[in-house]
Amino acid sequence: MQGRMQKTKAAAGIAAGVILLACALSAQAYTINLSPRSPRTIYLQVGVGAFTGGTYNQGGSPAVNGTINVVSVTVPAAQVGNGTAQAMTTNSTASISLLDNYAFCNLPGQLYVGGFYRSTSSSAGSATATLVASVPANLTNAGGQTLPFSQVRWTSSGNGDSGAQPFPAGAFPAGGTVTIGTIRRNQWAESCHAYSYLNSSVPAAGTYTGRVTYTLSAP
Amino acid sequence: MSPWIPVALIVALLVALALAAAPADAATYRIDDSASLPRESTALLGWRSAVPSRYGDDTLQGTIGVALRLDVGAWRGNAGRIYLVLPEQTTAGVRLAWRTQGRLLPGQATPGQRVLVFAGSIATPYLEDRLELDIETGGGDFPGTQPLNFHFEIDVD
Amino acid sequence: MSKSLFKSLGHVALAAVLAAPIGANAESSFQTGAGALSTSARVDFQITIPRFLSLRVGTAGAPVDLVSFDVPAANVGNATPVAGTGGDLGAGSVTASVLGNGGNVTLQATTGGPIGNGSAGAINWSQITTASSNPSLPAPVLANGASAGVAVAAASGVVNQTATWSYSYANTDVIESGTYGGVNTNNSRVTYTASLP
Repeated sequence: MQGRMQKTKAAAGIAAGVILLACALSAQAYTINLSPRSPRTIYLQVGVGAFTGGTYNQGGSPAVNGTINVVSVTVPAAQVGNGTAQAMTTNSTASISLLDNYAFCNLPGQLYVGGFYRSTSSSAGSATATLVASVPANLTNAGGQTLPFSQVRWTSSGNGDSGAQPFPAGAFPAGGTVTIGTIRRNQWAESCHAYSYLNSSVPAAGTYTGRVTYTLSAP
Repeated sequence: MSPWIPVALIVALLVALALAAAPADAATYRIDDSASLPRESTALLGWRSAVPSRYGDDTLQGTIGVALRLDVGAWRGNAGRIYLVLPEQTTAGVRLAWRTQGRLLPGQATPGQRVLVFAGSIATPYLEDRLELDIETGGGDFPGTQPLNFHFEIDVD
Repeated sequence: MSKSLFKSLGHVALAAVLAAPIGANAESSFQTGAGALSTSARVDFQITIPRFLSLRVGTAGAPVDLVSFDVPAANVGNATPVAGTGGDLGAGSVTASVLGNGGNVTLQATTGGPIGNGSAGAINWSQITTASSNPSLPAPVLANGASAGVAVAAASGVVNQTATWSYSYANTDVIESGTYGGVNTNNSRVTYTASLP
């Protein structure tokens, strides 16, 4: 009996050692799961914009501003249709960047175009948000006469900037859409657009108006 | 077979386990933190800044509290140093910082680091403290929920 | 003593908090959400073109052109037209152009009366005929005093026409010899006027 007990004890000790080794190899860490809370966000501002609580650097948050700004020009009578481009001005008061309160654009000759794109997604097509302008074929006056939107183009700049602008220079098409630029994921992008009217033909007298819709999209 | 044999086997197992846990020489041991709370936790991370900068700012951050309870009874009466160990993670660029209520040392770590949180004599069977963990990670490519693993070790003199 | 020295903590993953999209179309706007995002801002463009009208007959600028007719003695009064000399184009021809953006243009020519010679002789302006190279820019029929108006049609509110006007002396009457007209004398000058309603 005693001999059998001793053999049993020895076997139990060996078994315990094996179990102990198995336990040490299976030790696991304290685990916290990290989950992104913030949804994707895009913000677009053309002309006057709005942030509540101050600029971004002051802790402000993006908001909606319903003011539609106007970019306009009155061509001097002696220059109508002479081919000399006419600089346009805007009634926008947005010279300050809502990112950092910097005097980024010069008024009244420049229109602020800017925004940001927030995303944690790395799915295909989401690396950038794209800004597109939808343009009617013509501006129109009260008499129904038309002036093609392709007579309007813009240069792009920003005070203190060097290098390429995120929303570079371009021209409107005579109807349709044109890509204005892109915003990389988790980036604030901004430019100042200075518009001009080509003045390459003599149109009927009148005030011609038309509306351009800028759309920022993230797939 | 004698009914005493299975009992003896169980006793032998328990004795063997106790002997294995007790330090015999200076060594590093993994500490049981399974009594810590919450037992299940998820840290919701938000953008450090709601609005990005011009040059790209994709840091996610969040805070979570843990009622830490380290089982150090096996080393009671010994002097030792306890470390928070943050191994390499699947989540790239994670940074961990913690604040305590004073029992453990505050600190910060990045993956691969081992940071001292206690040095001294182990006088109690459990070492308890409240950890406020501040977590930061890159959010530019963060596909859904990711785990963050860490553990505690003790170097016994 | 636990049977297992190291026991992992279980975990439950929570879904990310999503916000309903708000604010889609204004001059600054933003949108949040999990799927595709789109937001718009509008800008109005306005180009004002004033009304204007310009007329050119002969040399552009200040000089007033002189068109002359020299009738051979053997042809006086024989109804054979006599071509002119002078004008900015020579051979009794001038450049005529009308540019305006206020709709149809009315042209009129005005003289001070019959062309005199400084005494009793006179030649009616009806003896001076004008031919236009461009039917869309007809020349007013010259008369003693104001001519009838001539319409120049606009296209889409714009008149932009150019022509060569060539003058002839009809030579249907036997006129006392002498020099009739001159440089702004003896009712020699024709004033052309273009007008918009």
